[in-house]
Amino acid sequence: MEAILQVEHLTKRYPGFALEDVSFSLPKGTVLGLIGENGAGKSTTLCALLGLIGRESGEVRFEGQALDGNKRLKEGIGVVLDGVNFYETLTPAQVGRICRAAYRSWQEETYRQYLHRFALTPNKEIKALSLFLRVKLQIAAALSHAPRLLILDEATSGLDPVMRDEILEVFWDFVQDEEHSILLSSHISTDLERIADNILFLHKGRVRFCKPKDELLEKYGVLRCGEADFARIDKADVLAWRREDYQWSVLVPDREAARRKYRPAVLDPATLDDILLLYVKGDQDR
Amino acid sequence: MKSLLLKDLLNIAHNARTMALLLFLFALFFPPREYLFISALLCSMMIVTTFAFDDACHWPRFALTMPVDKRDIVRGKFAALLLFCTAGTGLGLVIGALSGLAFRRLAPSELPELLFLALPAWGLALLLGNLAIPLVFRFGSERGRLLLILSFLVPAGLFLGAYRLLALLGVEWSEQVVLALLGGLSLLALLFGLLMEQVSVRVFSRREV
Amino acid sequence: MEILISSRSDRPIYEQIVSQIKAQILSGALRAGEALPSMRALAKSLRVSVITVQKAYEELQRDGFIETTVGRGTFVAPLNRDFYLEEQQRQAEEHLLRAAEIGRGSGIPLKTLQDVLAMFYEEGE
Repeated sequence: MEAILQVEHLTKRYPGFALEDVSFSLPKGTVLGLIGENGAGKSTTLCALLGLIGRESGEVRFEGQALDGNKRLKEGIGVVLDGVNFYETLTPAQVGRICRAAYRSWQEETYRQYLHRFALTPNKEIKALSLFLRVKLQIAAALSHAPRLLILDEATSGLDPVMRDEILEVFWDFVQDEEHSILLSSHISTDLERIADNILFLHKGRVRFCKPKDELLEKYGVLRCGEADFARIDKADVLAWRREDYQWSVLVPDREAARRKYRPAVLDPATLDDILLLYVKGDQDR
Repeated sequence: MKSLLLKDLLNIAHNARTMALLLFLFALFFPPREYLFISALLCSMMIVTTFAFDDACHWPRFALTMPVDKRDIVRGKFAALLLFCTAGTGLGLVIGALSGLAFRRLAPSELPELLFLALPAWGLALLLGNLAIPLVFRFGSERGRLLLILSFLVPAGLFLGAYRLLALLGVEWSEQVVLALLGGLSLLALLFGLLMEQVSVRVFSRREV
Repeated sequence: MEILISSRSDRPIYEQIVSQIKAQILSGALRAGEALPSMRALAKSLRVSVITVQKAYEELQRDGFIETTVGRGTFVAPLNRDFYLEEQQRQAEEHLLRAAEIGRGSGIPLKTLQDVLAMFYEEGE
């Protein structure tokens, strides 16, 4: 499948933290979810690929063209960062005027429709808006210049499940067009479990894997066993494990195979949270 | 860049009422000549306020997600500064003249002189603003404001010192020289602005937003 | 059309979609020529990812249950119901044959296997 976004060897070093050699590609028409613990480098990855922060190395191509130094390409990308980025005394109508001046492809009618859909009063100041309305204002602005790619950094954090569902609905609407793609980071993995096609897992500034979500949810499993059974498990069959008070939790890449091989061990399908937790908190064979 | 300028104007418009009130109050107490300079300088310093607004909502980071680069952001600030200085000088001139005439601090015959003084007032405000922008880009709006006061007092002190020294040495300042110097100030400020724009681009491109 | 998705189930979501659409075609609830929603629309309605629905549609197409025409959309294929059921029965017989062989070879009584089969069959209902 054709890639809308290609990221190669992205490296950004801070004192005490480094994003090392992050590479991935986002196929056109798909949703890629970025997961990882706090500080794993999700925001740094998004900011570095957009050129909002400098980077030591790496190349980013949007629709085949290098994004660096090509500011007009950003017309095709809608971005929502954590929080509202317009000063609190502005109104949604004024935000629209600023964006209209910034984007050649700005669609006033689309923006008006989003304000209406999101119940945003055009002349109410941002400081009088709830968090939910602020997020929706940023999303409306990001979607009203005909972007082909939407990049969202923790856009739904701080919202309750009902609100998040409304936001996800907007994202599903956006990808009704096969040319549209989404790259989003979230620490709320249930959201990604629903909408993402592929999952990129970052841990300590490095990519641990980038896989189809269905493969993770359909194949991965968590095996629970006691000390003696754990000792008998072939470490080549497992990805990570963690010792808890009364049991061992073991992450396996193929739960059916593990079920057959390690009868009568208990095997559950792995959620993204399980995978994250076992990788981050558990041990791995190295 | 147009969007960035518009954003600053819309942000600052919220302060406009307070600013207008302040200017009217000052008009009661200051004679027209001083008032002209105060008005120009006050308005020029609004540029630092726009940086504080930007910082409060992490604007620069978001701005770079738009079809905008760091050079555009710098240019937008200098464009806003030019507008602020011009508006401040214009207002200072009009309000200063009206209040001066009303309170009989200014004779109608002195109006041309006040009009001429607008040029150095504009130049001085621009000079200060030009200095402020790279400082704030480098040190942020809080520390930048402090450094600005220092970095303005030092050259001002040197200038005054030089003036005194020349006076002691018996150098005569003819009216023409003074006029030329005052007029030249605005030209100097413009040139200085071009230089500071380059400096700001350098400074800002090295800073993380 | 009705599709019920359980995200807690051990069964992959695409399989749930496949089996439910198949069942509705076999029962006649979905008729030949009837339009199915686009993959993206169904993904949105079911609150699942596009790739999941894509996988389900691909499997349904491979098994001859649906047809996709570029530009027109996806439709229920004309289905030879008897042929399909025969084919399914043949597959089941193959598995049972294997079970019978294992049972005979290791002396498991027929009755036990019959009970197990009955248990499995009813469990799934």
